Amino acid sequence: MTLLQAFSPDYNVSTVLFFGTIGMLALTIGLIVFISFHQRKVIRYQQQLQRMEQDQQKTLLNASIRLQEEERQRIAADLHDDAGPLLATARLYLNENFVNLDKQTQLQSIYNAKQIIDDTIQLIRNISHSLMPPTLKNFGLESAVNDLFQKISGSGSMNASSRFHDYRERLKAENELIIFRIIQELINNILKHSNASFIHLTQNTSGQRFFIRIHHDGRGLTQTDFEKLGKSNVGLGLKNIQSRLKVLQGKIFFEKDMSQTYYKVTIELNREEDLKPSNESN
Amino acid sequence: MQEAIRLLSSLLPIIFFVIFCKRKASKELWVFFVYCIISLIFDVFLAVSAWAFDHRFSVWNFYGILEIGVLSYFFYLIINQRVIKVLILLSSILYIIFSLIYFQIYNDYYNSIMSTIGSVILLILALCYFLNTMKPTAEPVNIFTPVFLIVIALLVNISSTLFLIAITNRMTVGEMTKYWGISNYAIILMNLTVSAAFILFHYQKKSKPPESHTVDFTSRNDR
Repeated sequence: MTLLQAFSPDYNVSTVLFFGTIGMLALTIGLIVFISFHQRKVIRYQQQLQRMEQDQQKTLLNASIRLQEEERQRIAADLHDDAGPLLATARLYLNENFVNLDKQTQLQSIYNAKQIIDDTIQLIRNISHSLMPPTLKNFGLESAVNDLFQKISGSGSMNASSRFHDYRERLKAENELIIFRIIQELINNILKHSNASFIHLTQNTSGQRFFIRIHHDGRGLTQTDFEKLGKSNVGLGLKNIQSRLKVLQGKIFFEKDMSQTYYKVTIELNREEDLKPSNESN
Repeated sequence: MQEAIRLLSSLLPIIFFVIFCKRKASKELWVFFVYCIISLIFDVFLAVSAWAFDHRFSVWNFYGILEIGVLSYFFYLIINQRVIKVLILLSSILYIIFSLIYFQIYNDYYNSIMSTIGSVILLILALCYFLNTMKPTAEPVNIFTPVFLIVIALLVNISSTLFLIAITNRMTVGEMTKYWGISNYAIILMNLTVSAAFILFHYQKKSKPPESHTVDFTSRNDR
């Protein structure tokens, strides 16, 4: 308006300049102050978010370290408590007096030592299989999951089944192992806490996304429970799942089925470059 | 006196740029440095040449065209959005074409209309830059950079002289002498802020934190 008045024949130069310049300056200063305050607020908010994310990562890292330590302790205990005494017994059978014994006793000692060494081999094989299941290594995720579910079903305590709908090519070996560990952890939780009578796993893909869905009819978690447990100090297994999913850049959803009878756990992964099989893994 | 201070202040950004920024300056700072040099040359030219003083309206008109060209390029470099970049190109080309036409036809008096349009274009570009910097990003970004200070300096200068420019060709010589101080003060303030921006550039480069080193806990060796 003032600008329009400026071009009218009877305008007052000093008034127009005074109000115009002061007005524009006030607007500019107001804008600068607004930007400064807004930016400071944004930075504070982002820093808070970053801190929260760092805390979350710290919790996940601690959980993964604790889990690794527990795994090492379990292997150490297996080796120390089972393999150690077995090998010591075998050594007893083959001690230095062995040559002084009569042939019949020598043969018996050799037989006993052989039996013990066979048991030790089996024990070490079991430990090794628990670290890297051979079915997973040789035949892929589908076979390993089917194998796991057959074992659960075979125990007779629960009805377990799995079905892979779209698994034509294998994923990277290390990613398959991570997915398998997540499934193992989830199944382990269901077995331990849910009191379910059946578990059913399905695999599917949709575009670039790779889905694994687990249904069971026991007591389960909802997404809110999962997030709450993820932030607390308990729920080591769930934190481990979170950290493994982070490696795969995947997501997990816990929900109660529409019918309110089943619990669903959906693992969603982006099937891009990192999930595709590499030449080295083939 | 005011003119002398204004001339001296025009030297400040050039001196600080040469001392603090010459080696590491980014392209946009170099462009603004060129703008500072052009401004100084025109100021000196108007101050020392009697011919230039007699034809000062033509000189101002020509300076206005150069100013919009260089500053549009400066904004073109600092704004990331493609649409705005295209708009900057279009507006500056159209502005230069129309200004040159006006310059050919009426070269003996100050072209307030085109200068006001130029100032409004620069104001809009400065606002676009601020909107661009205020967009949310994943990482916290410090917007208080030398470029931010330079844009603030430009904004203060343009907004405080907008009304003066708009009515210059309707002012008498006496009124111009009386009110031209606004432009002088605005330019002195801009030069001081730009000098501060160049000093800030030097210290921000100096105190840049070292790159963070992260450990990949997900590598196969750690598993």
